[in-house]
Amino acid sequence: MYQESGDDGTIKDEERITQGIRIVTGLIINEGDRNDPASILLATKGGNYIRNARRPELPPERMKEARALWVKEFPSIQSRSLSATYNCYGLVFAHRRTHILGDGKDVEFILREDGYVPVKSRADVGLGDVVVYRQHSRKEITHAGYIAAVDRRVDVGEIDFLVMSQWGSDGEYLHKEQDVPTMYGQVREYYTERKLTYSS
Amino acid sequence: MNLKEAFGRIDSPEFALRMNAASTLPVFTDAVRSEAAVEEVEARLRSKTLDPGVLVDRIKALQSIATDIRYENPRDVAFAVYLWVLSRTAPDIALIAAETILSIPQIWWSRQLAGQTLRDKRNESAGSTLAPITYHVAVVGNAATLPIELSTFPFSVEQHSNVFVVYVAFHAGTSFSGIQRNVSVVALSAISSQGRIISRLATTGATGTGALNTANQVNNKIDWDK
Repeated sequence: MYQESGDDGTIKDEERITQGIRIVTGLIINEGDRNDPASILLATKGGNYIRNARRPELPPERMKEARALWVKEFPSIQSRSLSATYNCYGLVFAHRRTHILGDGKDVEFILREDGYVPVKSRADVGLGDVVVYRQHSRKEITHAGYIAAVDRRVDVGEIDFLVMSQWGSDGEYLHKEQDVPTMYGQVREYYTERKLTYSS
Repeated sequence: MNLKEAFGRIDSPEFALRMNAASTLPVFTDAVRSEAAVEEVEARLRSKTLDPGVLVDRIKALQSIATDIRYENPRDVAFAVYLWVLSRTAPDIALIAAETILSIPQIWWSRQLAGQTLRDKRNESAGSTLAPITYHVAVVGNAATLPIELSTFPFSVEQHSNVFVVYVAFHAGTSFSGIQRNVSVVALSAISSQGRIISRLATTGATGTGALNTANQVNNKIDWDK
């Protein structure tokens, strides 16, 4: 995430994530960098800082309206918590402490730095693994959650997953993996950082 | 969908809730882009059947609605949508909208977009496709006199309440005071309307090559106590 910029002036990773600008009551700071008072110290396993900022809470009645909206659309989802201060990546990579900024490429960077590897087969997906969503296979990651339950339906040869994920600022839900807002897309990939039990 | 319906949709709580499901700004703008109400407003701006100033007035009207300061402004999504549409259709007016938005506390998407709008403008005014190194120094007083020493570089002045922010942009590899830099923001300072320094920061994006020294040089070039 932090790399030197190239001699040709191209924008490399460091600049891409540090160019966010935040202005608070007239002052400009780098959105989500170490000097942003809304940020917390957060780094990958590789030691690279992850740009982040704790988002303000939304009014409680708004959060309840959000839950009602999504439960109406996806009746089987279960609301776990209603807080706006973290996003899906903050849930998965920062234990709900903050909203991780950036874009899908930053998420891929965190996955790499944290030692996640793709799980090719659904049969190998396990509890605690990470699922990421994309609109299309070549588009950037739009959303992430972790596998909270695995239902191996041996009678029909299918595997169903329940996912725990934070939907933007609209709260955290336990949901079928396909039950997500349209903006996330339905292309799903699975990643794990399990040691010894996977890929060995 | 007529314009009144489009505005009503964009300002509605349900629209805000749906857009707030976005994880990051790119996902947010992609979602906004595909909304019929937003397409309607953008089409009218492009066809000149809607004055872009109307959207600035709309932002100001929404801004004036009382909110609970403990929480995020519930109109944040509407602010962001109007700014995003303006940035695509009327960039100069978008700057005014961005200025207005940045004076609003407790916002999220709209603040990110406003920062991006101002940053894009600075990059454009720097007249290069190279990544600019941007110095942010904020002072109060006769902005036209500031900062004389830096005026050989493109700069602009913006006013946020009682603080002027002076943007000075130059490019990666440019020599400034004999120091080469390759990081982004290096200096930020501000003083109050009474001339008192309220914040004097020297920041580096990360691995700044001499950036901190450069920030101090920029600060020292300005008579902060004037």
